[in-house]
Parts: sequence; C-alpha cells; structure tokens
Amino acid sequence: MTAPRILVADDEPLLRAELVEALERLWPDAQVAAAQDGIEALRLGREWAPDVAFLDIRMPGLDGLELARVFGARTHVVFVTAYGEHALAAFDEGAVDYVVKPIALERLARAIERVRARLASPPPDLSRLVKRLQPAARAPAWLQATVGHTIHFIDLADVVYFCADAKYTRVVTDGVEAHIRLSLKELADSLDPDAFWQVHRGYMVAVRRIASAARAEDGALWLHLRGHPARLPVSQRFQHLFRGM
Amino acid sequence: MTTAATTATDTDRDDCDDCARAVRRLYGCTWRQGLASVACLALVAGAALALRHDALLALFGAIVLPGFGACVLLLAAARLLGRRLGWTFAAVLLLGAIGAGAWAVLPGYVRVLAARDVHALPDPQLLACVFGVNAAVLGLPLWLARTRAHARQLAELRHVALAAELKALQAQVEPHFLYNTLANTRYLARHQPARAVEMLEHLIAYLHSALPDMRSQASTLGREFELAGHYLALMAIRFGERLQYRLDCPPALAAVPMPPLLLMTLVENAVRHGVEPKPGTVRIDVTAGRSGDSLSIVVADDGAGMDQAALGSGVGLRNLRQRLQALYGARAGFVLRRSDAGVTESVLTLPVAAQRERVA
Repeated sequence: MTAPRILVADDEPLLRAELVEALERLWPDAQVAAAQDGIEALRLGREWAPDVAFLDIRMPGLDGLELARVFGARTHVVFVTAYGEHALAAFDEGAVDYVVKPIALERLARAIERVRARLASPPPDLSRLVKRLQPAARAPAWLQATVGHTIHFIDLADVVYFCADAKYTRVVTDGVEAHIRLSLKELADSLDPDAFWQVHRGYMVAVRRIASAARAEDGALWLHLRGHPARLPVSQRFQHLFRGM
Repeated sequence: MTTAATTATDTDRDDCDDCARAVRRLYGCTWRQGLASVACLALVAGAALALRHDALLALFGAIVLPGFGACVLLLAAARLLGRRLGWTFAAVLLLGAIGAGAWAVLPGYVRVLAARDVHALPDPQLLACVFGVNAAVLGLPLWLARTRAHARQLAELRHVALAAELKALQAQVEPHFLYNTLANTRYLARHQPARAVEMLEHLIAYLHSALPDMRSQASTLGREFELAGHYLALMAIRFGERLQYRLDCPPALAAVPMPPLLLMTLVENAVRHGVEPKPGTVRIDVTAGRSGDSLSIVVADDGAGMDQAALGSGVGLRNLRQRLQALYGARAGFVLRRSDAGVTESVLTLPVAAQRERVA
C-alpha cells in the first residue's frame, strides 16, 4: 500500500504548522501537505487527491464545510473546529470525525486511529451533515442601506416603512432615507412577517408604527403612522389585515 | 407605583423623586411667600367688600378655605410619613380633604349669604365648584409631578441597566480568543521561545486592560489605543504575514477621556469581517484626530468588507450604537463606509468637552 496522503488546511500559520508536526509524529508513514486557505486546499485536493483531509471549518476563500462537500467520495474528512464554534453533538451523530482546537495529542491520535481503520472503505456521504452544520440564517436585526457613498447601518427597530423604488427598495426611518439593493419582495421574504406588513405592492410598513387605518371618501383605505407624517395606501389585496381595526 | 416611589433610593438630587418632596415643593411655602399670598388674598377680599360683591366674596372664601386646609393636611402628612408617603395615598388624601372641606364650608356659606339676604348658589353647584377648582389647581400639579418623577425613575433604571451591561462587556474575554492565543503560544514555546514570551507579554497586557477595575467606567484614548495595539499584535502573530497594521494616536490626545471598549469593538470587527474572510494580506489602520470639540477615531481596513449582505444579525454594532445613544444622545456619531478603492472605514465621532459631565 502506498503512503496515505494527508491534506491539512488552516489559515493560521502556527496552528497549521503544529498540526502538520503532530501528524508527522503520530502517522510517520503518511505524506502531509498544507494549505493556507480554502482556495489552496481546493487546488491541492484536485491535483493531489489526498486520502484524508484535516479541514479547519472557518477559513477565508472556501470554508471547511464547503470543501468537505467538494471532496465528496474521494477523501476522508476530519474537521478541525475552534472551541465553542459548532454544535459538537452534530459531529458525534455522524460518521465524521473532528478535533477541537487547541489540539490535544491524545484526541488527535484517536482520530487518526479511526480514520486509518476506515481508509480502505469509501468515505461516508457528508452532504446531509454539512448542510445541517451550515450556520442557520438568524433573524436579521439590521440592514445596510446606502446614501451616496456612505453605508448606513439601520436597526430594523428604527424602520418606519419600506417603499419599492424601481429595482431597489427605499427604507424610511425617522432620520434617514436610504436605498437597499433588494426588491421589496426579497425583503418581505426575509423579514419577520409579524413585525412588517406588506400593505401594498409598493409598501411594507412596521406594524408598531401603524396608528390607524381610515377609509377615504372614494373607499380607498389609508394608513396613518405614529410619529411620521406619511400616509400609506392599503391595496384591496391587503385590506383583510385591517378588518379588526 | 407607590412602592416604586417609596423605595426609591436616596439620590443627591434635590428635586421631586419622591412624593413627600414633591408635596413640600408644590404646597409648602417660605414665610415671605406666605405673607405675599395672604396679602393677595386680603386685596381680593378687600376689593370684593368695597365693591359690595358679597356673593363673590363668599364664594371666594368657600373655595380658598378648603384648598388651604388640604395643603396644610398634605404638608403634615409629608412631614409625618416622609419617604413612606406614596403618590396614590397623597392623591386620595388631597381629594378627600378638598371634598370634606367643601362639605364643611357649605353651611357657613349659606348662613353668611342668608344673613345678608343675598341669593346663594344651590348646594350641588357650590360643592362642585369648590371641589372642581381645588382639584384642578392642587391636584393637577401633583399629577404632573408624579408623571415626571416616574419618567425620571425610568431613565435612572435605564442608566443602571446600561452600566450593568457595560460591566458585563468589560468582563468579557472570549474563551475562544484565549484558547486560540494559548495554542499559538504553545507552538512558539517549542520552536521560537523568544516570540512565545513576546506573545505572552502582549496577552498579559491585553488581559490587564481588558479586565479592568470593575468600578471604572472611564478610559482614555491612549489607553484604548494601547489595548487595541496589544490585541492587534496578538492577531498579527496568529495570522502571520496576512495581517499588517498601524496605530497612530497623536500624543496630545492620549489623555482625552473616552468610554472603554468602543474602539475595541471596531478593531475586532475589522479583524472578523475584514481579515478573517479574505485570502491574502489585509492592512488595518487605526487613527485619531481632533477638530474643535469633536474627537474622531477611524478604523480602516482593505479586507473583505461587508458589502455582500444587505441584512445582518450581528449585535456588535447594534450594541455600539445603543451605547453611543445612551452616553451622548445625538452628539456622537458612527458611520461605516466603503470607498471605491475597497477600503472599509468605521468612523466614530465623540464630543470631547461633553465627556466630563458624563464620565466623571
């Protein structure tokens, strides 16, 4: 059997050197190569076809989870994760192994033993595990909007309403009006539907800021806002939201 | 409500935090004020007598006497109960006293006017009139004082909550950061002991200023730059050639007071969002300058930038904004911008002269 090829990918040089050194000591008959970021690891993975890859999860370019998916059925993956960064329980369930940084030698020796035992068989399918480990999108709390060259960080709690503006969306707070590079529809999909109501094709309003809904003489429904002079139209399709008001 | 008012801690402020003090301020008077009031009353009474408006004079007396009695009663209660006097109790006492007073003066009013053969107001109207006028003149200020005291208490609570949050922030050194730094040191200790010692020295200095005396809420620009310097030195050892940095704090500004850990938030942000996600070398520049009464601190990096995501859930910048708002209101500013050259700049503007009143 030829010498197994091991790829180490970590963006911190000293930790990378430490892991390489430990592997050379614990697995003397293996060949070890190191990559300093996700992109280099991807290149090495393609050209060199490693048998085992020790992948830091957080790396610039391409992170360890994405790499694991690309390596797929060719390479056995051992994840290297920093303390507290990932739900370790998720690893324990799967067939995949992991070591926690800072690396303890006994732990690394055990991981090596296990991966060596599995080397003859094809690596397990990680795609489901990887998907589960990918950070779940948290409910957004702020948004970035631009006025000229300045990016404003706008707390969602400060938003009065959004207004569709060609391809973009205009966000209106008490102090600022700025543009976001998302359509009103895309925004509506990612915001909390209880906090923001779309009341019209072109308008989405912060529920907290709605003062009253009043019917004009021609039958159209208009929203009055708390502490803001704007009046927003409510289209037929969304009038059911205000039946109780 | 009552409990809140009566358990309010003793502050060195001299106005209306508790009810008894408000009562004394509203209904009490100095001798001179008292004499002036009596003179005014006498003037009005004299004018009514001279013009032979007996009905008006009697009505005037009927209104003033119960009000006067209610004031005396409340002042007595404030003196007797002190801090234990609650707002609700004071209001009930006031309205009760006015009502009882109105009832008490009614027979006198009727008798006086009957003796002079002048047409008197019907009883219900007189009672309503005496009660209404006194409730409006005496009760309204009490209600306003209560509203103001409660607003002040809320503000006080908010301030306390923020101070507590700040303490928690100050105490916080991420375990992740510690572990990672120590793992680097372990490797260096084996191969380059001199650099390991250097790294430990930066770590000790960083911990020394990141875990400061819990009572101190004030820092200086110089101290914050020093803290950021140790942090960046540690990061530069960790990231190797990928991270380059420069700190420039003009010596003349080193002693300018500023709140702790604002600068650290910006520097940590630059490392996390600028350096960590970008392959290759990233440069961080931290500078400060003063123009007039405002201090501006700029953290610039040519890293990955934050422009991919329009929506975010990070709490670091939100905390920063809340702290600025709580400490300075609208007088402080924070802007994040990305230039065409790909440099992300966070610019913090703080009022300099106004620091003392808050931080001292």
